[in-house]
Amino acid sequence: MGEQAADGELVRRFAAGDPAAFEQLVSRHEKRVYNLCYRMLGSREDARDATQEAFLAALRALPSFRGDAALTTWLHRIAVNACFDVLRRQKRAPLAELAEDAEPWPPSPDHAESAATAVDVQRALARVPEDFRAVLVLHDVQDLPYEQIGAILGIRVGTVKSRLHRGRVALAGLLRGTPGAPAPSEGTVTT
Amino acid sequence: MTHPTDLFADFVDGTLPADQRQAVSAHLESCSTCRAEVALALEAREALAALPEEPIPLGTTRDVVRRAKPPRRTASPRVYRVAALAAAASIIAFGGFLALRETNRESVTALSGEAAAPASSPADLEPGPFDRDGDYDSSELVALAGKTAKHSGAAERKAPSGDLTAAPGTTANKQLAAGEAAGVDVGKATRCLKKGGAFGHGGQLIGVFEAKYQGKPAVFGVLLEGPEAGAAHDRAVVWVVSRSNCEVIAFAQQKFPGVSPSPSVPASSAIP
Repeated sequence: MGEQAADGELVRRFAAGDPAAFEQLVSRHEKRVYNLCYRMLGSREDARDATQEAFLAALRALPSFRGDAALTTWLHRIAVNACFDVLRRQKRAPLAELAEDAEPWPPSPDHAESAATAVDVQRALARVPEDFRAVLVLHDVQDLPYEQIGAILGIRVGTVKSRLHRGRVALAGLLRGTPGAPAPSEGTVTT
Repeated sequence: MTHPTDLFADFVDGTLPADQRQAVSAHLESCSTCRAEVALALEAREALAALPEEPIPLGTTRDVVRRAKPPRRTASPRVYRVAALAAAASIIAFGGFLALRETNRESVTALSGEAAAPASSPADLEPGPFDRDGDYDSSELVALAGKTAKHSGAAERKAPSGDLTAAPGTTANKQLAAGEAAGVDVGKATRCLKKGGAFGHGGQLIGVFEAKYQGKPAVFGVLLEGPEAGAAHDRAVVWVVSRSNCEVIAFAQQKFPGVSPSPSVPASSAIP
């Protein structure tokens, strides 16, 4: 609750013309936004771009922010949309194909274990369909509750849970190396 | 009941009411398919929860924040101060790192036979006293990454196999040994960096030193990385972790000069 009050205060000060208010909002939230983007997009460059776009969009939209949603929900929604925009612009070949061509990464002998795990998980995550991936990142990485995720993505809680479970199954299948992933979504609503 | 898949998310999260949890457990006892599926879901949840937090590279939101402020006169004294400090910091010698840059220049000269690498003032190469009290701020950290990118980028392009360690006189061991000569316990420092997540992207460590960051005692790790693990190096990164608990304090990255933007990034995405 203290967090929301602090955000609310910064929004008020921004509306009152305080030039430092936006900077403080950014520094409060930039790490989470960046991590959301990094886990969604899988590269630092893309995460950087999406983070910048998200905060730029937030700056433009902040004057009309009414406080009917929590600021974090509103900001997460902007960030997720920025990520989807980046994904759409890239029009990549399905990542499943790219991954097949990629050189296997030899972990350095000293740092084999933990380094390999994080990279492998991120690579697998990048191959999970975007609509499932968003729920995985928001829930299992960023610990947001189902209701807030529903508000961020504009879906019902039942859909959040369904995508969460199917996303987890897909991710674990990829991590184990089995080709059991569900078909990639094509941008239409998936259940 | 048929397979209660709509309850599995809650079940794995432990948020089902007791009666529903018992019903699901009972179903799992007799249904191997669902049991396997729930096992997968649990594995995924744990794998995701174990992902480390990525540090946001310094400067990511600088331009956006600047746009929110009313325009001010350029603070040129501050720009001068930063430039001067960056030059001074290079003399102040985080010993191992200075040895690194000297060796890069040697390797560039040896391999190419040309005049030495991108212009640095002679002061850059003067070994200075190892100064554990040197205190970096964020702009100096970004400058450090930039200098490394400039020198290492040139060396990498000229190294025969593209691997810096293969270039004569520039083995990572030699560089790290220089760090040891400067009084750094390189093994301990490297473990601290690892704990903070510095090796999570598969980069190559080329320098380790200890100094302060914004007044806090820290361990600095300088690495070369590619856009992803296993890819060719295209950037220098500097990780700063706390010397006391090895948590990340700051992170900066700079691409080698002349590296073209990633194909996935449209050129027009730069924020003015």
